[in-house]
Amino acid sequence: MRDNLTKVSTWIDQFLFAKNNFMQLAVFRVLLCGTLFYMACYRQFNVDQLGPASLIPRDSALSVFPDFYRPLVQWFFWPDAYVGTVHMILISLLFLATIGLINRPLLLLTWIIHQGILNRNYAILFGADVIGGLFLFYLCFTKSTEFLSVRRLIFKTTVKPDTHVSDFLSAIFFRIIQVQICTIYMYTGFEKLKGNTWWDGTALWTVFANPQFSQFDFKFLSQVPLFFVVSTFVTLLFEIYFAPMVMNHKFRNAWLVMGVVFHLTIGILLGLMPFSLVMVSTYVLFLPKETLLSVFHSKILSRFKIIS
Amino acid sequence: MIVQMIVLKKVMFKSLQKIFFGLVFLYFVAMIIVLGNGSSFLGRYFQSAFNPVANTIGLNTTWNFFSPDPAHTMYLRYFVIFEDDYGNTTNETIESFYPVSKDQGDDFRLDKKRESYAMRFLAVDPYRLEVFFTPWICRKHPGARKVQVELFVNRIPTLDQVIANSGITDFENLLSTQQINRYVYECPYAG
Repeated sequence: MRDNLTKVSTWIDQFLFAKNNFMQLAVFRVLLCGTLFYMACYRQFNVDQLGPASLIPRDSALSVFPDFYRPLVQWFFWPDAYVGTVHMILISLLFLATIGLINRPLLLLTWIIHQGILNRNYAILFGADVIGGLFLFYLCFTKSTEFLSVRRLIFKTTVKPDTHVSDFLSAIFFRIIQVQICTIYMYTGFEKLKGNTWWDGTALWTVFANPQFSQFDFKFLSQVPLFFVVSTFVTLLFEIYFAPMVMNHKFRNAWLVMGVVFHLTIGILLGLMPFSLVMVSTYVLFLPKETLLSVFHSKILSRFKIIS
Repeated sequence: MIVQMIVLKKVMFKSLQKIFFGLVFLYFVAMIIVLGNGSSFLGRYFQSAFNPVANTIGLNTTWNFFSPDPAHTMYLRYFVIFEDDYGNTTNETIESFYPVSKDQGDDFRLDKKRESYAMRFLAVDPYRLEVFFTPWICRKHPGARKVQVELFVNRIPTLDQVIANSGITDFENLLSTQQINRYVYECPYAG
């Protein structure tokens, strides 16, 4: 009994705290913050929707949320009239986060402004805004600038990937992000199972024949109906089985490759590239750091000295 | 002896830290799993434990992309009506669509796409049309008296219908447009 307990506690210790994941977190930071930066640049065109001329008046901004989901804190602490400036600050912070010239408190400030912007007008939110914001929150607690950061270049500090030990906070939030992405896939798959068209195998036809979703006219594919049926069921299988497959060493890489193809496809065809990039950015957290290090130690990338 | 004590204290402190962070991990994982299906019994049962944190950080949300079924094409048509206090037309009625691209999608630029998302937010509840959309349109058209709003849904024909009707040449005929609602709202502070 005691041996078993010791084994369990050792396993938990190994799972949560043993590894350093700075390399994965650095790549994740670049991809996530880069995508959020890109989205924020475009959102600058919608800044009127976040100020006094917004569809949702300031005093109703939180009341439009259903009771069950309503935030307790009103993160938009700035007056509406200053939203243009605040949004420019957000864009700058996201840029700094992407290049790694940021620390945890500043990243937390970035998240607060980002969340405030999201809370201010619930009506115009993309899924990528919400999921990206959530991942940004988790990222705030990690040491994500140990690699691939301008900060490292400036301060010339050397980080040895093999000897560096992770701090507890980084380690647990690394695992939380992994759990979060698996849960998102699992529930989105389950939610689809409630729909008749997903059971029927024709859901993707409804998506691709809808000009508000599809960037290109795919109606000609109705000549090959099996294309939609197979794609619909593959989507369901991919999402529902994502968690067990990435937990399994044998299938992990195959599933991640499938995920990249899946997301790039919907990114290009349905114009959902930011959403796709946010989702795919988490995949690096399932790769061993040796794989990422070998990529960045390749001849071409090592010239840029982006890692020590 | 003192060195031993210091080492022991450090080990204990590290263990306590691990226990604390382990509990934080458990809390977050439980919250992520339970609130993925927040409307379930578990979601309601643990509401007081999870919702304050989850709602504040944006975690409490449903993950229903394109589900339970993908939406059909939708858009709003609206008329901005200019009248005086006696019902006489003071300016020509303006007809417009929201989003401007109507049912075509056309522009997939992110800033334009947000309009489609806002339209879907408005379309699900007529109350939102009255409370948010109408005052917003009225503000954009000074002097407006009323706004008439209509929601249109283009039902995408099923794959079976398309196959049975000799394919895509009939697609436009198979597409059924439904006007779901028509409301007329007074502009706030009009007149």
